[in-house]
Amino acid sequence: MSPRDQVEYLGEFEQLLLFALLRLGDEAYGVTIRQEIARRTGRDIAAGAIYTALERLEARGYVHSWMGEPTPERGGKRKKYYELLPAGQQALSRSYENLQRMARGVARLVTGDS
Amino acid sequence: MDRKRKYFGERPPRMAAWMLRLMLRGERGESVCGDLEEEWREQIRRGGKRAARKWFWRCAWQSIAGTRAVAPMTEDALQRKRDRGGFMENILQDVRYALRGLRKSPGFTLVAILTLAIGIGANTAIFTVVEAALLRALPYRDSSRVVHLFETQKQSGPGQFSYLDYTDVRAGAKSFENVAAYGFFRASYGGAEGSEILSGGRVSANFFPTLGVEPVLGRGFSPEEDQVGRERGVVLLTHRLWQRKFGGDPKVIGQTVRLSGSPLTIIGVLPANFHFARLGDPEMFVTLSPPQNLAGRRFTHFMWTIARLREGVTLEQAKGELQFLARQREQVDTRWHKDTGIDAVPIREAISGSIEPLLKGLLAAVGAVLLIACANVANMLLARATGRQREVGIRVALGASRGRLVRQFLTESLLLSLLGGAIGLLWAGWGVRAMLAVVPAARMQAFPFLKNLEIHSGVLGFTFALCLVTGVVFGLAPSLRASSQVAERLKEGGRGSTARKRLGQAFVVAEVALALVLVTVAGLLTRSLMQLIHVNPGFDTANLLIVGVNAPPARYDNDAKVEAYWRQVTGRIESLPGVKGVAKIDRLPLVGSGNTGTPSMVGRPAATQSTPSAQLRSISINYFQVMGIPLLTGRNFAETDRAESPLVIMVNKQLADDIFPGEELLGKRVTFAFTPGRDFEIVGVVDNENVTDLDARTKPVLYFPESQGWSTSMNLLVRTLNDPQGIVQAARTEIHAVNPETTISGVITMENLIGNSTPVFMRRYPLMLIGAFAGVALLLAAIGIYGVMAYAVSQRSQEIGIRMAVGARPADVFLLVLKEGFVLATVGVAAGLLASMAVTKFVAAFLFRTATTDALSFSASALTLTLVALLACYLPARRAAGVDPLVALRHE
Repeated sequence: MSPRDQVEYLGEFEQLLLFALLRLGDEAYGVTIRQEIARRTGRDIAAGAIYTALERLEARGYVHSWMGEPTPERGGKRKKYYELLPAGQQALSRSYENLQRMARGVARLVTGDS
Repeated sequence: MDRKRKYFGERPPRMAAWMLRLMLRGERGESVCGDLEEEWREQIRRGGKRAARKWFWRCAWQSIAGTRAVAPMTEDALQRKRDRGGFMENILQDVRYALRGLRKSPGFTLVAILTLAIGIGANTAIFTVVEAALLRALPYRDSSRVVHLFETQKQSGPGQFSYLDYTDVRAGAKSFENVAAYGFFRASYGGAEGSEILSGGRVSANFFPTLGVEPVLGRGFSPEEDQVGRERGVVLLTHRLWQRKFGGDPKVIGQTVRLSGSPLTIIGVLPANFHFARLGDPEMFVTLSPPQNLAGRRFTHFMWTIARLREGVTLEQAKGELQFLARQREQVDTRWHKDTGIDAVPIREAISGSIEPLLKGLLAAVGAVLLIACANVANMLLARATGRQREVGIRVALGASRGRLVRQFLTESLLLSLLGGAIGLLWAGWGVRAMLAVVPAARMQAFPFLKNLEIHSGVLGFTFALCLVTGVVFGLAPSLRASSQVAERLKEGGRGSTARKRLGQAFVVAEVALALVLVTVAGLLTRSLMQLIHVNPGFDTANLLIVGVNAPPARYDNDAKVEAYWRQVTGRIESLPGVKGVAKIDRLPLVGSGNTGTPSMVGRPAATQSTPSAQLRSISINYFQVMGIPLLTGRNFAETDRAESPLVIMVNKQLADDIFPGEELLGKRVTFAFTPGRDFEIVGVVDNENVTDLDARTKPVLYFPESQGWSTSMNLLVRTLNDPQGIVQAARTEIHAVNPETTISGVITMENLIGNSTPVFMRRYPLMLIGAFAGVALLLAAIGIYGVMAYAVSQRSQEIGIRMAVGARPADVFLLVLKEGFVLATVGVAAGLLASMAVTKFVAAFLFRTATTDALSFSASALTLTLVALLACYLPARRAAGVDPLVALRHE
C-alpha cells in the first residue's frame, strides 16, 4: 500500500470539525462551524482552513455539502452547508474510541479528574 | 430587497474583498466571501471599526495563502493539503524553495543569470526599436486608412507625381475621401541670431486634414492660401521649432518670419508628437503653391502624394481603381504616360519600409543569441540536476508527484529567467542608447520616431513575457529529466544516463550551429562592405573637402554679380596654403539622385517616358580637372562659354551608350521638354563618374556650365595636398570675408560623405550590430562547450584513472578529450553550414557583389568556430590529463 492510499484516521482538527457538524445538524456552514469551535475550544480558525479540511473530508466521503440561499448580510452570496455522512460518523466514532481506549485508566493523569 | 446595508455606514474593506473574490473561485470563494461579510457586522459590534478591518484583512490573507491552522498528520496529508491549499501558498513555497536552492550554488546562479541577461537584454533592445518603428501607432487619425501613392514606371522605382497627375487623381479617384501632395522645402531662416538653413515641407492645403492632424495652436492652411502661381504667405511651425525659436510663446500666431527673404505669417503650431518621416525631420510647413510653369507640365514630377481611403473601401479596391485611371491616362497621353502606372501602399510601409528588413534580420539574430543562451543554461541545469538526485529521490519516496517536482524545477527556471531579465532590461536601456548614438545625425533624419527611445510599459510587458517563455524553453527539458527515473538513478549511484549526456551534446551542437550562422552572416556582410568600399566612383576621393555655400540671393540679383561673387570665393580659397584646386557643382555625387531630364536630339522624334532619363548637373569649368575625371573626346568647358555664347553641354560615356548608342555625339544638338525653343551643343564626352549612389550602376549624366545658368547655391569641392580637415576653418573665414551673410552648410570630407552615404551606412551599420551579436554568440558557445566538456571530464575521472592505470599517457588522455570536443564541434559546424545556406538567402538584399554562398565567408566561419571550440576544450582536456590515477580510482 503506497502512502497515497486510504488513510483512515482523522487528525485532531478534523475530529473537531466533525463533532461540530454533529452538534449543528442542519445549521452547519462556515460561520456557525467556526463559531462553535471557537466557543467550545477557544481555537480561532480561519474560514479558509475550515473549507480546506471539509473539502478533503468530502473527497473521502465523510461529509457532503450543498449550497443554500443567498442573504443580503452575505452580500448576496450563498452559504455552503455541510452534513455528516455515515462513513464520517464511523470514522469519527473510531477515532474517539481509539482515544478513549488509550486514555482508560490514565486520563486523570492528564485532566486531573478521577 | 433593500441592498443598502446599514453596517453603521461601513462596508468591508474593498481591497481585501476584491482580492478575495479574485483569488478564490467557485463555491469556495463564494462561501468564504459570504462568511466574512456575514461576520463583518459582528466584528464591528465586538471591537469597533478598526479592529474589524484588521480582522477582515487577516482572514482574507489567511484564506488566500492557505492556512497554518491545520495540523496534518503525514507527508501525504501535507502534500494533499498543499495541493488543494491556497493558490498563493503553493507558488510562494516553490519560490522560497527555489531561492534557497539558488543561494546554495552562487556560482551557477551568477553565470546563469548573466547568460540569460545577455540573451534577454539583446532581445529587449531590438524589440524597443522594432516597436517604435513598426508597431507603434503613427500620429495620424486612423493611420491604417492613410496610403502613400507612387507613380510606377518600367525602368525605375516608385516615383513622384507631376502637378497635373496629382490633380487628376484627386478629381477622379472615388476610393479616396482626400488626396494631398507634399514635397521638400528648404529655406534660410533669417532670425535675430543669424541665418541657418531649415528643412521643412511644402504641402497642399488638405495635407494635414488628410492625415487627420490638427494644429494645437492657431489653424491649418486654407485652400485659398495654396494656389498655383500665387506667392506663399503663411507658414505652420512644428512644435520643436516653436519651442526652439519662440520659447513656446502662445502669441506667436500672426507674427512674421523671413524664409529665404520672403515674409511669411505664422498661422499655427503643430502637435508635439507629430512626425512625417518621409520629409525627414521638418521644422516648418508652407503651402505647395507650385509655380505656374511647373504646374503645367506633365513631365515634371516634383511632388509626392498621400491619400485617405474612403469609409468601407479596401486598399485592394483602391489599387484597382488607380490602375484603371492609369490605363485611361495612358490612352489620352502616350508621350508621357506610356507604360506608367499608379500604386498605393499603406503609409506605414512608406515610412518604415526601408528598415523593416534590417529590423527583422536583427530580431532573428538576437533570437539566435537567446537560443544559445538558453542552451547554455539548460546544460548547466542538467549538470546541476545530477547533483540533486538524492534530494529528489527522497521527495519522491515521501510522496511527491512527478508533476509537483516538474513544477518546482520550472519555478526555479522561471526565477532565473526573471532575474536575468531584470538585469537584461538594464543593459538593454544602455544598449539602445548606444545603438542609436552611433548613427550619424543625417541618417536619423529619416527615422524621427527613433529619437529619444526609451523603455516603456509595452517593452516591459514584452520582456516579462519573454522571460516566462525563455524560462520554460530552457527549463522544461532539464525539469523533466531531473524528475524522471529517479528510482533507477538512486540505485545507480548518481552518475547520469546516456540519455542525459546525449541531450547535453544536442544542446552544444545546436549552439555551435546557431553561432556559425551568425558568424557566417557577419562574414558575408563584411565582404559586401569591402567590395563596396573598393568601388571606384570614377573620381579621386582622397583629400577632397566639400563645403556647401548659399549666398543670399537678394544681394546677387544679376549674373554679373553672381559670377563676381564666385570668382572671389574660389579665388580666396585657392590661394590658401595646401589647396590645389577648387571646383563647384550644384548637387554632389554619391548622395542619391538629383535633377533629371530626358534629352531629345534635335531633328529626331522627341523623347518619351520610355527613354532613359539622365542626371543633370551644373558645374564649374575646372570640375573634371579637380575631380580627376578624364576627358574622352571633344573639349572641356572654357571661359568663352558665357551666357551670351551658344549654349553648350558635356555628356558622360554612359549617356552615349544608353541613349545614343553607336553615334558620334560631338557637335550634335539636344533639347529638353523643359527648355522649349532652346537647344544645346554637345562639346565633350567624359568618362563615367557615379553621381547617384555608390552601389548603383552609373547613370547617364549631362553637365551644364554654371556660366550659362548662374546659381547662388553651390557646393565647393576643394582638393588639398594633405588632410582636408586642416583648411576647414580657414575656408569658412574666407567665405565669410566675401559676404558675412552667406550660409555655409554640409562641410565634410568626401571620404566621410561616402562613409555616411546610404549604401555604405546601410551595410556598415547592420554589420556592426550583427558582428556584435555574432561575437556574443561565439563567446556563449565557447562557454557552453567548455561547461559541457568540463563537466563530462569531472564525471569521468574514474574512467580516466583506469585508462592511465593501464598505460595511457597524459598526452593520450588530453588528445582523447580534445577529440571528443572536436567531434562535437564538427557536427555543430556541419549543421550550421547547412542552416547557413538556407538562411543567407534572406540577407541577399544587403549584399553587394557577394554571393549568398560565398565560399570565403563560409569557410572562414567554419574555421573560426572549430578553433573556438578546440580552444574551449583546451582547459578541460588539460585537467583530464592531469588526473592522478590513484586518486581517481579511489574516488568511487
